[in-house]
Amino acid sequence: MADNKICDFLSVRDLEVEYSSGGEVIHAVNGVSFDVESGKTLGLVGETGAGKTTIAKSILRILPDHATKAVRGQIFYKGQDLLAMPLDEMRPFRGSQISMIFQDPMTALNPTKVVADQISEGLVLHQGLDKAAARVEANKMLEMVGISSDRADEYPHQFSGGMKQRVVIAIALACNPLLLIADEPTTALDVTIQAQVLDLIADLKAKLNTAMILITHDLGVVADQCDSVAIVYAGQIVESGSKEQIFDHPTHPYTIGLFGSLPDISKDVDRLSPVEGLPPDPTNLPAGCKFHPRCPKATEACAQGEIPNKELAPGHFCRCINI
Amino acid sequence: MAEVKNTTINTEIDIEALMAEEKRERKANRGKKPGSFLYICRRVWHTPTAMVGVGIIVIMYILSYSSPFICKFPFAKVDIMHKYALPGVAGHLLGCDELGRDILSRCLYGARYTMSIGIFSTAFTQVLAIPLGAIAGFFGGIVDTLIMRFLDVFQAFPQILLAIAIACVLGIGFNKIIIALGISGIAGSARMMRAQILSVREQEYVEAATSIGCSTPRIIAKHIVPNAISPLIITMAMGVAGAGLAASSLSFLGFGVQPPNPEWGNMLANARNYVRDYPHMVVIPGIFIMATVLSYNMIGDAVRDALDPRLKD
Repeated sequence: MADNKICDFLSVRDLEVEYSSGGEVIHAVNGVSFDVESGKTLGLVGETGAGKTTIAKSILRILPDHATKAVRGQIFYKGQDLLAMPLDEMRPFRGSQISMIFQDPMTALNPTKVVADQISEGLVLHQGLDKAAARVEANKMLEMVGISSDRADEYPHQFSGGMKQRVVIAIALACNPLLLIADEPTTALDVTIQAQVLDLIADLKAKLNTAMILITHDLGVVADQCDSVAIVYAGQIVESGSKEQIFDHPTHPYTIGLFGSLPDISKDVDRLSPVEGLPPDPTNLPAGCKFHPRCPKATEACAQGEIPNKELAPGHFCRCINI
Repeated sequence: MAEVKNTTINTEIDIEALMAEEKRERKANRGKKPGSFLYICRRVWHTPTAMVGVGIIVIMYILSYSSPFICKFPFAKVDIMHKYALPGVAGHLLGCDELGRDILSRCLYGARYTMSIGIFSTAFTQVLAIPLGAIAGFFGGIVDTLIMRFLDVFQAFPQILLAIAIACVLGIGFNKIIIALGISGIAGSARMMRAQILSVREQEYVEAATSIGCSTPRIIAKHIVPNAISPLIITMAMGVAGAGLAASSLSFLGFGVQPPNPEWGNMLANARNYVRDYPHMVVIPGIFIMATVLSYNMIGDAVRDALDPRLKD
């Protein structure tokens, strides 16, 4: 996957992002490379703080200006490097071709605008529709996500959490984007609504043939939705491959740990087995393999040098020297 | 989700008809849509306290401009026989001042100054302060430093002293006092706007607006400022009242409205020596000032409620 030839649709190469905070440098993303093919879904899985959201925001270039110290690497979208583009040329891509579903629907909607206006904003900007036409489209989008268009003139605070998330999805899909970045779209919702929202996304995705990057820490969601999976740890992809490869043959000790910590309904155990320890401090990452301080299989060699990305099977890569 | 799938299929049919209907509906709903100017007026209309405020101010303006025609005693006429007259004496409804001038007539005539100075100087302040604060807060860094350090120079002086200094430079007069008070208020309002912007800027919906391709000016105008403006509106309502008071102070010091034109502040100032023996000379202009301040505040509250959808119902 991380080879030199780039994919037709989206290829991220050697992405590095550094934040600065109180004089310290935070290494949020450290050399991430992946591809997404048109119409396919990639799952980015990892712990909180692993850098998943940062990867997603780098694609749209919406990292917070004041905290972001450096962004290096390339992000090729249909052969054009988004990171090298002037911001003015980049802007038309946002919303119309690449769009994002935000994590928390409670804060991702503007509280002073009615939902229809928020949905139609992208349509007015990118498709040059006048207000009345955009409004008709916005009503259609609302119906599409299962909200009656009678409620188009209501404010976000008049909707429930699940409905707000649907509105957020409607905004993201309003211009029929080719790439959808879903940043933990169901984390803020309860389990019954989660299923509905995921079905909805999958449904719309199939209808519009949209590619998706699904960020989550829920392996169940990944199994349900994704074509390929990348496991992110401390700003690196430690293992990647097709869904079947990862789920049937998890290889990296961290991936194995993640699967091991899932509750299994068929076994009678008193306690779950978590991955011991905490993720490393991103201001002071360990040398060598970032996972070695927590790894049950760690050897001395793990703490030295860069760990190469081994190809275990076609398309299945793993960043570990002890396999 | 079954019904969802069906709805999208038959929506292509009648876009023209839908749009025509949409336009009709828009016309029919004018003023019902939250956020529009008409809607705000409608909300204020339905708030009893605000209507009391509007009523007091409108009546005050009407009486002020018609007072030369309806008052029995012109504001400048000296009736030395009735100096210090208490309310009701010899046809002077609210009594007379130390020169025997009719207090009612003077208060009504003076309303035009105090009330107009408040409105115009606050408008002047906000027109400059909102963009300055918004730009400083949104862009941060060197732009922020330049704007805020420049405004610090203004804030280094007490506001009234600054207004006096500016009034000295500009000269004496009604317009000049508006400018002087307007400039002296910019720093405070801009700082408040900046603080609001700083907190709103970090909100996820601003990021979301960026992610659908909004340009920076659009984000500031449509997403950040509307969410940051509520406290500013309260400040404006207070500011109108405060600027009226400041205008009175300047008049007292000899800038601004000149005697013999009556102004509530300089009436108060003249009357302060007689407060023990003839308190009505102080109390009456004071009541006028209080009623005006209260009215503006009540209107300000209602406008704020109308602008902030979360406080509705």
